[in-house]
Amino acid sequence: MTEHETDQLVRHGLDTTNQFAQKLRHDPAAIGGARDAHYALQTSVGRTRDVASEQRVNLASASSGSTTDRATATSQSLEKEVQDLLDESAEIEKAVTEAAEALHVGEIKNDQVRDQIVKEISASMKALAAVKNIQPPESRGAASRDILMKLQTKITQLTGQAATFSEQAINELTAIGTRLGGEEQSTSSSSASSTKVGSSFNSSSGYSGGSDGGGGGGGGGGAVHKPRLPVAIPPQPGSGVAINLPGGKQVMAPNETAAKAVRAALSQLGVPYVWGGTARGVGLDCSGLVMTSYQDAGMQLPRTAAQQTVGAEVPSIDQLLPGDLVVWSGHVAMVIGDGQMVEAGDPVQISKIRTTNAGQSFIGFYRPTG
Amino acid sequence: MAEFDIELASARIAEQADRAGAEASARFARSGPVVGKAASDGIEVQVAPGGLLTGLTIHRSALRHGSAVLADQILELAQRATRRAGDRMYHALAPVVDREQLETLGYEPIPDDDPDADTYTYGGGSR
Repeated sequence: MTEHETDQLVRHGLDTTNQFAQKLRHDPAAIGGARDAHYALQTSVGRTRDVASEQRVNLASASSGSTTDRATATSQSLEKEVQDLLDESAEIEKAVTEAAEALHVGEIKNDQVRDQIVKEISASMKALAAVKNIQPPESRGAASRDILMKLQTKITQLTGQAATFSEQAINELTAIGTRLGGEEQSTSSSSASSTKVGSSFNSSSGYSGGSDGGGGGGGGGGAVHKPRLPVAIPPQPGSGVAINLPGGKQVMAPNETAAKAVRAALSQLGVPYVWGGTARGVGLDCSGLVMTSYQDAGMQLPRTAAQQTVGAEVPSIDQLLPGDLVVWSGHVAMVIGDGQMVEAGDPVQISKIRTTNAGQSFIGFYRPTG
Repeated sequence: MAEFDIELASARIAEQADRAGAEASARFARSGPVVGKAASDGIEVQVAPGGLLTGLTIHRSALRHGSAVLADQILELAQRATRRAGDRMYHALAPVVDREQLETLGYEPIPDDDPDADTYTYGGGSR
């Protein structure tokens, strides 16, 4: 094996982990930026509260009467809202810190997998160099093949692990985002009953109303990614490919690829759940089942559940066809028809179509072939 | 964190592999070519590491049991010879190549009390 080939092999073997590394590495900078911007916002909101409070004291000491009392009450309620905003702001800050931590852990795990891949390649290269000395030369081929095939299996397995760690980091970020998104709702309800401040009272203050709070919370809610896709069209007369389900019922898939994917997924019933698994017949995770089944049908899907939102979006549950995907933030299942879907629980099994999955957010229905 | 240097990694791997290759070549030069041999009842089988058949001698006396027995004996001897070649490869390469790789190649040591254990003295070999 020449130096150039070794170089190619290393590059190829590390391709996936390097991609994940890029993804994980870019985001901490963005998160750091978000945190800094957040500090600035917090400081400025804090100043607003101080100014309002100072004005109230000045007003109360310089005048008296019912108008003054009303103004003082308005100011106090304004100060309380600003304080609520600051409290929520602390929540956001905590979430940003947690997100940074999740990314960091993801990065470390990814680096560990990459080191492991380098180690495997190195060990295999040493073995290859050694078996070059076997006599007669005709038996070298088989030995080299054994070594390279084992290496390929190892790299595939490790790459699967890297994908799982990356998916995990993304899921954690999604969970943090979802939590913030929930709190955002309480903000909007509180800003609906926002204190109305007279313009003369507010002329020297920088406070611009309740919209700041909504904006701050909204930033965190964006972690669940939902792409804009065309809407899937219903099956047309004369199209469709029949599939026989295990229960004996016959259903129609929209095309050959979807039908093949469903048959390929059904062939995996009973295979144990293995986290990060993409080995058909041995161990699969949810997105591994979907990815390898479509792969068997000749179509390449992304590796993780949340990325498998591809093709066309199916607008409602009653329009689902065999081969469609049900996607959550951290889970995915394939519709097989007759109101059922196949998913990699432990083991791979058939269940009724649903949109809830253990607290994860439901992203949508997708037809990869749409 | 420092950016991962792919060039450095592959240069290091290539260098380690070169060294392993040179070391293995030196060890084989000392021991002579590694083969596995097994013999019984007038049949002698010789294989290369991995099991490639490189030599077969059948004495006339071995023919009297009939073709089925002869075929079985050759198969059994070939398997034994392959294990012995693996055992010799294991001992030759263990200091150079990782255990796991040797296992992948089917190079495994034969325990002393194993019926396939090497009682045959190979030309040039001293163990």
